[in-house]
Amino acid sequence: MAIGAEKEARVPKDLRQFLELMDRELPSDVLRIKKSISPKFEVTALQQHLEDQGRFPLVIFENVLNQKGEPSGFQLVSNVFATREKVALALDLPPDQWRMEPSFRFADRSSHPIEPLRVSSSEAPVHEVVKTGDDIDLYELPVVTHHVMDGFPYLVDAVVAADPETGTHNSSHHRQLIKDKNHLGLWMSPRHLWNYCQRAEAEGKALPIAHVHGHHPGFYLGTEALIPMEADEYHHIGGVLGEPLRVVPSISFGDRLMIPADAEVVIEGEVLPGVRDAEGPFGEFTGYYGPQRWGPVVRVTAITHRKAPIWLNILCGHPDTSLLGGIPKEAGVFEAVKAALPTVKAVHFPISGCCRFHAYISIDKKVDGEPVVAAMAAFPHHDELKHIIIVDSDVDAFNEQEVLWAMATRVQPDADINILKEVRGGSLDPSATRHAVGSKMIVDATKPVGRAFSERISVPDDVMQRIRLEDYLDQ
Amino acid sequence: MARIMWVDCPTCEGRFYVATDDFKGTNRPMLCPFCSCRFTESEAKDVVEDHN
Repeated sequence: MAIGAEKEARVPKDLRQFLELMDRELPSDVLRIKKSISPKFEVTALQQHLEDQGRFPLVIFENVLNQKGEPSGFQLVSNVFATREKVALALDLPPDQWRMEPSFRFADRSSHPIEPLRVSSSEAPVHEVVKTGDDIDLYELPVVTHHVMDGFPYLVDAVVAADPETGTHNSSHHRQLIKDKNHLGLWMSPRHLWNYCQRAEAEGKALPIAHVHGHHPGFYLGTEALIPMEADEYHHIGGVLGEPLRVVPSISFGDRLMIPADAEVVIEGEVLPGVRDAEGPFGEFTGYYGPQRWGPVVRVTAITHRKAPIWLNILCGHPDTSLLGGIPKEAGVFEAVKAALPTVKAVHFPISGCCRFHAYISIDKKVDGEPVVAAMAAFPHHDELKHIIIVDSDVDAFNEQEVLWAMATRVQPDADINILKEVRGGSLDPSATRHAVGSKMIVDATKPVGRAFSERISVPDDVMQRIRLEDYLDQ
Repeated sequence: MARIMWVDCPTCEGRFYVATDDFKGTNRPMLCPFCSCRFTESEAKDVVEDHN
């Protein structure tokens, strides 16, 4: 390394850097739409057409309208997380390392937190344009109305907040309905942000929050890290990014709420104490609408953004959100299973299970009974897991057709399926008849050890190597 | 999932669902996602409870 190279200023990771990386490394997976398009259903409709063709490119809408039907001045980017290859790239892996590698990389990085780096407002790109007071108008943003029953435009990126007592920062994904030009409806499950709100409200205080739009995808993957409430999520996001998250005091709340400096857009606001209103329905990650709820209300206090800003749309209920939520969980389940069963080979949360409800686990089985051990170790790690299919290591857990073939040929339902009843489950599982309580299924799709079993067909190895496809197809 | 009840908007007759525990037996105004109309459970054109 040349002397002085270490002193070169590093370009902080942001969405623009990732888009450049996509253009360089996966250019065939980037689709630019130049024609004007409305964020009200039209963006989703175009993506649904692509999905119906089995295509999940990163889509850049270069001329997206705002909610008033005017040119927004934003570009809109969607499907950033829609394939494992893109997530691999977001975690600084080659795109062909898309199987367990992103999960392992995520687990490794998130377990090595990096302290955030404070910068001044003049150094923060997200403060290039600042709107407060009467200049605030959420309708000027190209916020997408996704699905029929959503009815209204929804923000679906990360919400950041600071613990009202300790100042520890949390980042989490929540749906937020645009109610009017400066108010949002917010829904949250009873986790960290909900806890902050409850404690602030108990003292009659508003809770400062900010909605972070358009950061590097590593920021949102880091947001999915499962960490204790006392841990600072900004440190773990830095770990996932592989560099310090640059933060800047918020316009509205100063040091009380630090903001990711390299985001494209930040919407600052406060959760109003004692105020509730109707919010929802909203198309959730399950592919169904979550019901309308009676939830908190946010008063927006500032909108800040970069010049020539990019709006990041995360398409909820499609692979974009499935993989964003699923990949960070796979390695955790892998480690939990490995502690009980060292011969585990892979854990895959497939998109068909919304990357939450199904897990395919491959093991190098030594004795009967190990598949159930693997499943029992996996369930406590993620309460939304419902169906676990255990396969032998000759079956590719990332190839759903092979997994279902193993289920078809190695399972006798009366002997190889276990049902667990009355177990804590996902709060958004539409099939559950009780809230967050349901049943679990373990499918042992492995071959028995203790008795003779049919052999899987194959072609001789030496012939497979000698007969090369390209030698025959060129003729 | 939370228990849901389907409601019909009294203005546009659009159907959507709400969390039963949040709205049933309350006077809380629901918000029609199709026409932005506000109405309470008793004002709904129809209410169908379901334990989904």
